[in-house]
Amino acid sequence: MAPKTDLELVDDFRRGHVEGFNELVRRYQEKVYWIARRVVGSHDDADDIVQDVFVRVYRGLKDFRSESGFYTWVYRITVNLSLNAIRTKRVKDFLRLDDVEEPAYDGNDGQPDSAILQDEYKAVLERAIDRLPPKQKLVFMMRYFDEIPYEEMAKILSKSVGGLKANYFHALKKIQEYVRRELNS
Amino acid sequence: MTCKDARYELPDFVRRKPADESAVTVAAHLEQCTSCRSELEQFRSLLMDLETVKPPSLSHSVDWASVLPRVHERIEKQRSFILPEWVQRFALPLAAAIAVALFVIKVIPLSTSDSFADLQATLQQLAPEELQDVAQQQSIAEIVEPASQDEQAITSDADTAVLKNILTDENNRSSVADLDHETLLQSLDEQEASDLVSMLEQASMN
Repeated sequence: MAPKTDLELVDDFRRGHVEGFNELVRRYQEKVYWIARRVVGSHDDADDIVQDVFVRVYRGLKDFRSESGFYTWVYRITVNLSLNAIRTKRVKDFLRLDDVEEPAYDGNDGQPDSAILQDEYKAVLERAIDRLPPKQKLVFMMRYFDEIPYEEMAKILSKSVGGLKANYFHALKKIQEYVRRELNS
Repeated sequence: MTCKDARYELPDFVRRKPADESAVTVAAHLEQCTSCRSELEQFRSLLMDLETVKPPSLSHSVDWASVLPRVHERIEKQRSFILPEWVQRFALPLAAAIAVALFVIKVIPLSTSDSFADLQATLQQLAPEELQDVAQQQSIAEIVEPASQDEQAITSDADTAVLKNILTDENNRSSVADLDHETLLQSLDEQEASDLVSMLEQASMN
């Protein structure tokens, strides 16, 4: 028997069968987690966002309009909650009085020089991605890692395809410039 | 195709994921544009390097089986905090009604007080002679006569009587001339002051 479509599960839920909702959670929990994780960075925050997303889905399924597609809708909720989490975190960080400790450099662990350089270069790239403005980072993540078509991204983020292409291009340019600056310093 | 348009397509062109048939157009542009070709090479190198961080370093393992029970737990927890639907439905109109009521009570009286202050300022600028002229008008007596029993509370009987005597007594002109304007004005309520100004305007027209 073929698995039920998203919309069939939504209908099940609307008819009072909570199993429809449960199946949707199981179907999308990993995707939601990784979207959130890539945006917010930490596991704990992403884990929290996953639960919030599905709580909102639970409350909103009654009014969900099927034309946008269930996954697009869930993706949009995830993106919004992730960006909110980043804003909240920034405010908290700004208000926090104690300084964040820099991780101490633990020296050469006996790795060959080329491996160290490789790790350092990778760390620079990760930092470059991490330093992108939240929305630009999101566009980069969606396009580069998730390979979501621009048309789908446009629906999720309510942006034009042209604007998203420009955003993706500028995100890559920023990564490129950061890496160049770090390697030259 | 302009260089700008071509460059926005380059990341996808490098990864062979052209958004549409634009790949052909981009290729044609690249053949004749050295600047964009140089940009393409830089992107090629960067995107290749970025493969090393794909997927991002994610070390924490996730207990997927625990997600659903925790979601339901959170739904139940929030449900106990959610206000009944009828409260949610009426909360906003009620808040709006309270805001309007506060506006009416607080802001509108303030603005009439302001106009009363303006009237007082106008009257303070009058010369004693002008006030005397006003006092000669018989009708001025009506101003200080309370219109009804209810309005007696506005000005005390004693104050009304004093003012009426001052303004209507032909023998008391010197008193009017020497009258301290502030004392006079403080004896008037808003309606009285407004009527007094009307009288002044009529007097000046005559």
